[in-house]
Amino acid sequence: MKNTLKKLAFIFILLPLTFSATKDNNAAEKFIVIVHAENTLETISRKKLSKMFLKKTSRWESQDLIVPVDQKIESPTRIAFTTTIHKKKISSVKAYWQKKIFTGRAIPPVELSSDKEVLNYIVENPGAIGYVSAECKISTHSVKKLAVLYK
Amino acid sequence: MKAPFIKGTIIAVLLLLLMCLSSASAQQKLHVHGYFSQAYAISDGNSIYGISSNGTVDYRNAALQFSFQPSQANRVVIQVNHQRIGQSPIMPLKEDVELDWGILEQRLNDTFTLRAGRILLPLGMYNQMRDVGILLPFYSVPFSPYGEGIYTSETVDGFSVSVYKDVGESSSIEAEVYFGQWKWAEWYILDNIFGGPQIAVADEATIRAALGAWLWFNTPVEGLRLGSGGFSGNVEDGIQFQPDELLGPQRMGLIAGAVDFTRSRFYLRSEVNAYQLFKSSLTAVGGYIQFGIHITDRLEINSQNETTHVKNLIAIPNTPAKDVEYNRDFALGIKFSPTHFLALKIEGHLNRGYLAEQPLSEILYNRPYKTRYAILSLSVGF
Repeated sequence: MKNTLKKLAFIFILLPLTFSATKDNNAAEKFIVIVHAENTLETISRKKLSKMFLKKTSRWESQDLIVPVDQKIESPTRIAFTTTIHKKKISSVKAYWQKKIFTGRAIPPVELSSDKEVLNYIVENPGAIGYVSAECKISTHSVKKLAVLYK
Repeated sequence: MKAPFIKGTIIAVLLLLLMCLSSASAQQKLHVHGYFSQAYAISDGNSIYGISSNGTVDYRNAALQFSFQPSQANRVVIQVNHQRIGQSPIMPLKEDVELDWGILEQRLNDTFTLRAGRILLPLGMYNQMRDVGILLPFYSVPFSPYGEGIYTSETVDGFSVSVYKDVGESSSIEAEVYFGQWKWAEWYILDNIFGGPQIAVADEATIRAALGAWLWFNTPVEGLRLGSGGFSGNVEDGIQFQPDELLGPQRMGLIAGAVDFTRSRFYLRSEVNAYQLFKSSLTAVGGYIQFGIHITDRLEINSQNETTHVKNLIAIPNTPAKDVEYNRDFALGIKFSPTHFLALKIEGHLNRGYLAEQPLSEILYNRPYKTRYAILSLSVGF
């Protein structure tokens, strides 16, 4: 009986952890982070990326302004990005921005409707950083992929 | 005097903004946001917060915000608002449309930001968003320390410096120091000695040369932050419950602490504060605790218990000072948010104390009022 209970406890503790890890991994595969081809950065940590999109960090190491660009709130790519990078639900991030707006602290990043619009925006704005779906072909644009370090 | 000046300022600034919109790039830098809350409120007998037993739909908040950002480093933001609080005694002090707040902001770097103008006063969890219905668990914020527009202020006319700093890997500090002045509303009810309707008296006190600060420590525990701060200033005019010999300007101070533990499925929040008029011994100590739980992503149940105690309250000059439980309020509510910009709330309150709009003489005889009231509200934001 004791052994059965222990096994059950083990399963019930491990299962949610496994599920959440799997969920994070799956979500992370659904988008790629991109910057302008002239940007010298090759990798970025998850935390730093999150701070950029929450406008807590405003400048690249070159001191140029960071211009984050989001996708629309209902976009599966945005949902995957929010879950993986901010580690929050879309509703939490939306509430964060509503507080920032109505306390006059900040306004949210530009929200675009498609991968194509994000690609075009980054091409036109060298300081921009955005994300597109994993299936999106970026080789035809002057952008490059940024590797995200999860630790 | 006040209304034409403020309206003229608003019109002048809006015209300036429109002139700045002459180019397409300028239009991209102008952002417009706003919110609107409309409520129906009713009490079981006593009038409280402008709510009577007749019920009222003259209960709403609306605001329109114009934010112009010529560059990432600076912004001009103006918000105008309209508020109705039913039959509240402070309604005569309110204009139909007022300048809610307006700032010039200069972000020096990721750590320091300067603001000047009519700045939102950083105090506790809710002072800077006390009218934003889609963000609040209940229609109004707790009386202690926010006062529902009496004995507190949402804004300070002056300047501030805010700081954001990471502390280690997983925590950070957000702080703001400010200096300036503001007004707050005060009111009381008098019996009409000639037998007619009761007389409501409302006035504004001015707090000058006020220096204050607020600090949030975002702890390594996800969703947990601790806050503390306060201010001190010179109080002039208004209605001040104090001994006759001390009438006139005097220094006052407020200190407060807050705990906010917010997760995706629930939150637990609490604030305590103490306020004192330094020359007299009038002291008010209060606080509240809020707990909310998300039944689903769209539906939450909220509860709140608050209390305010006042020591050495002199309700009428030349009468003995009293220690009273000035206000106690228990609230339970449901909030339904079908989208992130819409919220429908229904709430009920059990109140006991002296915030009911009844004569001051009741405080003299130490008879607190028991009032039940309910509010149904719809809030939108964009």
